[in-house]
Amino acid sequence: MSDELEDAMSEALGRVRRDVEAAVRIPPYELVLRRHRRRRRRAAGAGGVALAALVAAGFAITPALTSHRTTSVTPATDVRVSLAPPQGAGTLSLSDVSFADAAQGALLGRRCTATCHDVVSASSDGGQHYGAEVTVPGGHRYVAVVGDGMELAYAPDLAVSSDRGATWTALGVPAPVADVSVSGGTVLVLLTPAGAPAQLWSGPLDATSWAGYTDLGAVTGSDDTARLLRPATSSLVVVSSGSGAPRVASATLGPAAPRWRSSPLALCGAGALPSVSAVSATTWWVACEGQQDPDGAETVAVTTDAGETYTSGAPPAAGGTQQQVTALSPGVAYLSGGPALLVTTDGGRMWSVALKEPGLATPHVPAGVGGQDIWVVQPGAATVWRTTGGGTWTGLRLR
Amino acid sequence: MGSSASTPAQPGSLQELYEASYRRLVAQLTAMTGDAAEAEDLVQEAFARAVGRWQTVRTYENPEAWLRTVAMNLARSRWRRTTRGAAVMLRLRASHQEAPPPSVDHVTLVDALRGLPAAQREALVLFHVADLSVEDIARQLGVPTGTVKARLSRGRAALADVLRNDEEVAS
Repeated sequence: MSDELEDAMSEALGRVRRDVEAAVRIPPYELVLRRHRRRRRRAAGAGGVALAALVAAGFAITPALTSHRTTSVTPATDVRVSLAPPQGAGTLSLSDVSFADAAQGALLGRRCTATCHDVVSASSDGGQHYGAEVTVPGGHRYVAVVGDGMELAYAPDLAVSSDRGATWTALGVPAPVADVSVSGGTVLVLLTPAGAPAQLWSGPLDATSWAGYTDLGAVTGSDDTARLLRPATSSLVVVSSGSGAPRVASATLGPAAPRWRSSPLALCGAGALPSVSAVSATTWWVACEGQQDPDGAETVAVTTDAGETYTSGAPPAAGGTQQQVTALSPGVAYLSGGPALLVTTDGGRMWSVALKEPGLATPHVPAGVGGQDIWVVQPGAATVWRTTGGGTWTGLRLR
Repeated sequence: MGSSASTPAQPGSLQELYEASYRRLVAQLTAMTGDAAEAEDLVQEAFARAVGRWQTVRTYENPEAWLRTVAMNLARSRWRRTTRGAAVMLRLRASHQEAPPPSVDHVTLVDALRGLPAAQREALVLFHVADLSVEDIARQLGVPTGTVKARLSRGRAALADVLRNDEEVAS
């Protein structure tokens, strides 16, 4: 194509932009706020419980059912917040926390002054203190502390540290990273290339070389968004969403090529990627994102037969807030992202307030620590919370 | 703490961003969807979704890019849910009645854009209407820069063909 034609096309499209910009009148901002309030009301639904009021009361959602609790998970009885020494100028927003065990872990956040950078702070005492912030090249939503000094920051870029987060190296990947899972001495990276199904790459823990990849065309569509779950070393669960209903596919890894069992998540609306937390290759919890689907209700459900059937719970509506589920077992799960951290110990029939703090991210429960040590970040408040057993929650506000 | 990327400072409030970027985003979505009324609705919906998440969105490198992505995702989602049926046509008619009539060139070009595959249309609009660089488009769409260049090249060629055919028919 000639430069003249390209210039002409650019000029013509520029005219379209100028025409439209000149014709558009900016509606009052109040209309946006009204629309936001309508969305919240719609998501809350006519049958929804006003969670905020219950949170304010600080009691179980259904007090009459509290005696059904069968595990040691208890609502917070003691909440303490302390202030960490300032790390830098500007504002800090946290996005993820990860611990390899009860002591070694790290926080991922984003510090903005005149510019913004991803930063990681490491802890070696279970999160009582965090070290100096280290800048991580690229953009990332999640951090994984693997152990033996290895840490990964990922989605949509990928960076690795082999010295407990002291220095970071950005790794070249052929497509955006959707998720990473580390187990059994290998790292699995889920890529979502544009115009193609997701791909699953595998390599050693330092992620500097790849053994090859598996095309997931059988279980994901082109341009799907996706997440990767690895409830055990030998099992994989892939959640994907595109034009149709979201899907969950699971496989057991072995010497032979994995055989995937894929089923649609009809209980969630099309288009949005639901939050899924897997306990095994056949048992997982699902939280549909009512915020993403104007016509869908917020639903939390659990399956124990690889998605053949689901048992829906009835958590209180969170006013359209996107909620994330974190499962510890078929009966015990946390729900975060709304006005409080909720917990159920009876498969979702009854939910109680575990921590009365709004807008918490997905809780992190390290494998092998028994499900008693839980960390969760509160992005906007730049606070990381920790509990052992749920009775006492300690918060550390970073600056 | 070191530094690896230089990004714009964050806007103060969502309302400031709304007033600064509303027209720009509507123009981009109009080029994308071919429907000014639909574009306004998409942009307002994107801002409404930002209200509850502003404390997070404001820390992003480019909150306006986040809003554009949300609006474009909504456009794709609506496109899948509808069959370009009566509702869209009604909105088209309504928008044409309320707004001053666009120029013939404008209509021809927007119609031609609508005839392109979505990936090529997105690349053209982000490059020529949103004034993003190839690198920025690649980052926003999550594809390599080579893919963006290829989509731009194919999109321009296809657009030129459509416009050339229209001229021949008209003459």
